[in-house]
Order: sequence, then C-alpha cells, then structure tokens
Amino acid sequence: MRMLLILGVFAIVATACGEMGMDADSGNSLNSGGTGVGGSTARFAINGDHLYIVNHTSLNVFDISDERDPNFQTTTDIGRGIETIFGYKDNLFIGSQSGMFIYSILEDGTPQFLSNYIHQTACDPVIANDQFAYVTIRSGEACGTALFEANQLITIDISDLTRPFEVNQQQMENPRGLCFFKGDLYVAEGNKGLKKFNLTDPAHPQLEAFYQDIAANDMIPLGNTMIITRDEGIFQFGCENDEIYLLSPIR
Amino acid sequence: MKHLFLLCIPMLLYGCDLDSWTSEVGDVGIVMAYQPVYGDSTDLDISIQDPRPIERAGKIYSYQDLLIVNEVGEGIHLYDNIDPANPVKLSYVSIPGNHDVAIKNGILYADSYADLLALEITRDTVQVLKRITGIMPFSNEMPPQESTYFQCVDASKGTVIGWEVTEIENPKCYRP
Repeated sequence: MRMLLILGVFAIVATACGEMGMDADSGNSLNSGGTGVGGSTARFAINGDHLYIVNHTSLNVFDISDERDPNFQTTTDIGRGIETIFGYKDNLFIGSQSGMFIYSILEDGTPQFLSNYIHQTACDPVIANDQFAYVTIRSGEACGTALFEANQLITIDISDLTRPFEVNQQQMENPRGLCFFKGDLYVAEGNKGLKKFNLTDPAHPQLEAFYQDIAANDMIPLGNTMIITRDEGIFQFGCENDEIYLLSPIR
Repeated sequence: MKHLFLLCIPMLLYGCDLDSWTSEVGDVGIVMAYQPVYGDSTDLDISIQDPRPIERAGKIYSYQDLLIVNEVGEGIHLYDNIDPANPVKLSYVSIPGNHDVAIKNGILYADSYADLLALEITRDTVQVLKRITGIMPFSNEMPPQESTYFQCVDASKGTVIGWEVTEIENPKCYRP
C-alpha cells in the first residue's frame, strides 16, 4: 500500500493555468507524468529517468529508470554557490551566486553546457519559458553581498539558449522565489510581500500588484491554486477575476 | 578543496576563498552557531510519526494530491491536498538533515545531510530503499549556511553526519 499512490489518481496539472500556453513549466517537473512539482528554489529536479541534484559546486545526475534503485550517473562541476535548479523541456536552468547556467540534457540525460549569464554575486533562483528566463538576485549576508545592494528582477532573452542576454532589470526589495501563475509572473519578496507582474510584453514585466500583506519565500503554481511558503507555514491561494484570495493556511 | 577556488574574484569581501572557511576566529563570546554532529548516518532516525505543527517551513513539493512541506533540516510534513481549501494532515516523516525532496512513481528522494535517500512511504511505514552517500560533500566539512560561526570539525571524533544550531562560546571557525 503506497500511501503516495493511493492518495489519488488525479493526474497533476502542472500548467501555469494555460493562458500562456506553457506546458509543465511551472516547477521542477519536466515530464509531469509520474513526478511532482517543486518551487523555484529547489535543488532537485526530475526529468524522465534522471534525477538532477545541485549541491554547492556541482550538478549530480542519478539514473532513476528503476525508481526504487537510483544510481549515480555523472557529475558536472559548475562553480561556486550553486543554489537552484529549474527544468524546462530538455534544458536545465541553474541559479548560482554568480549567475545562471543553461545545460541541455537531450543526450542520455547527461548535462551539456550551453551558456551562462553572469551577474554580480547574489542569491538567485531562475524560472524560464521558451523565450525568456526570469532571475531574481538578492543581497544580504547569506548571499555573499553584505556590502552592496543587489536586489533585482532580471529578464534574460534565451530564444537562443547558447547566447542569453539581459533585456530588462528592475529594482526589487528582497526577492526570493518566483513562478508563472495564470499567465502572470509572481515574485516573492520575503516578508515584504508578493508582487505580480503582467507579462503582456514578456521582455518587460510590468508590476501590476504588490500584496504587501502576503509574505512569501517561494511558490508552486498548481492549476488554479498557488501554494506559497513563508517562514511560519504554507498558504494556498486561489485566483478569481485576476485577483488572488486565501484558500487555506497550513501550520 | 582546490576546485573551490576556481572562481576567485579578487576584491570581493572575503578575498578568494568564499566557499572555504577560517579556523582562526577571535573571541566573539556566546553566539548562535553550528556544531557538528558525529556518528554513523545509518543510525539517523528515519521514521513515520503523527502529524505535528510546522515550526520552520522549508521547501514544498506537490505530487498528485499530496503536498509535502519540509521542516527545515528535520523532515517532511505530508498533507492530503485534494481540496486546497481544506488540506488534511496525514503524517510527519523524520528525515534528519533534509531540505529537498522529489518524487517519481511514488518513490520519494530526499537528502539527509550528505546523503541521498530513496524512500518508500506508506500510511504507517517508511522504508529506506537505498542510500547514496556523500552527494552533498560540504556538509561534512562546514555547516550548510553561509555567514555563520561553527565549532571546528574534529576528525578524531568521527564522521560528521550533520549540524545543529546551538549556543557556543567563542567558536573558532567561521564560514563566510
């Protein structure tokens, strides 16, 4: 009796609510079949028969073709301060304290370096769709940037994955995780709140709402529900008429 | 540790070895700091327990109707989230040193300090199907947090299987 399986037979709906026509792009599941969805600050990502884990300096690949018997496959040194991994289609977007790295995993799941985008030292998760990657960078003692200010939302054109370039940069307060939800871009600002950006022009996210009463560290978008983490617990929000509302707290 | 210095950027706050640590900290008095936990990682308590409140919420993971919330460094809370307006607590699984999880076909992968575990969880049991050691190597040498003091590792005491935060008087090590 696998509890994880008997809990339901409903397939996970991992789309970002369809409006942008993205598929399974809302978390760390590239193939949503038998896997789940994590947030943008995850260090684990599954694509098919492979589990990808970033530690501080490298990307480790495990063969999980037999999910009960994972086996180490390969490791790739990336640099220092590796923090997050986001899978989208056949690519991995890796956030580190020095920038974003893009790897192709087309070939037997083994990462092939495509490109990187280097920014100043700071914490940074990343999410992406076909055309753009959105990166937040955050300064602070734990992010190697105690002495300078580096709170930004950066938009990077990745239509050519081998040549990413920045198209937009916006000042933020204390940004952390981010997600696509209902066609919009949401950025967690820690205890400062939650920001919603309109992506009508995806190269230039337009701030549409700033929910200062919704503290947020990271999010998972799930169909019509956005699950938000904050220090003291989890809060689930629904969405109606383009406005989010609290569904339930989990403490 | 040589590869740590590959990306040296001169003039940064802490010089070249940002991912290293110093063991010559002057007296800083009593501070909150990490101290190493020594032992055998297979001795760690991985068990299923009654639901308990979230104390420090970490990362989240959603799988079918299951919502998983990490209790930072300690384990995972499991919820039946078929109705997001009314999530139901199912259980808590103790996984010392855990921060991340992912699931494929009902098998849960979780880090536990330096190790990767493949777990099979049922309503009443949790079974370690496999343990792959040493995938998070730094956790054996310095704490999993930057800008923090810690008690230096004393190899004569055994293998570091984890770190715990506690009050320490004049810790000698610091991770920038």
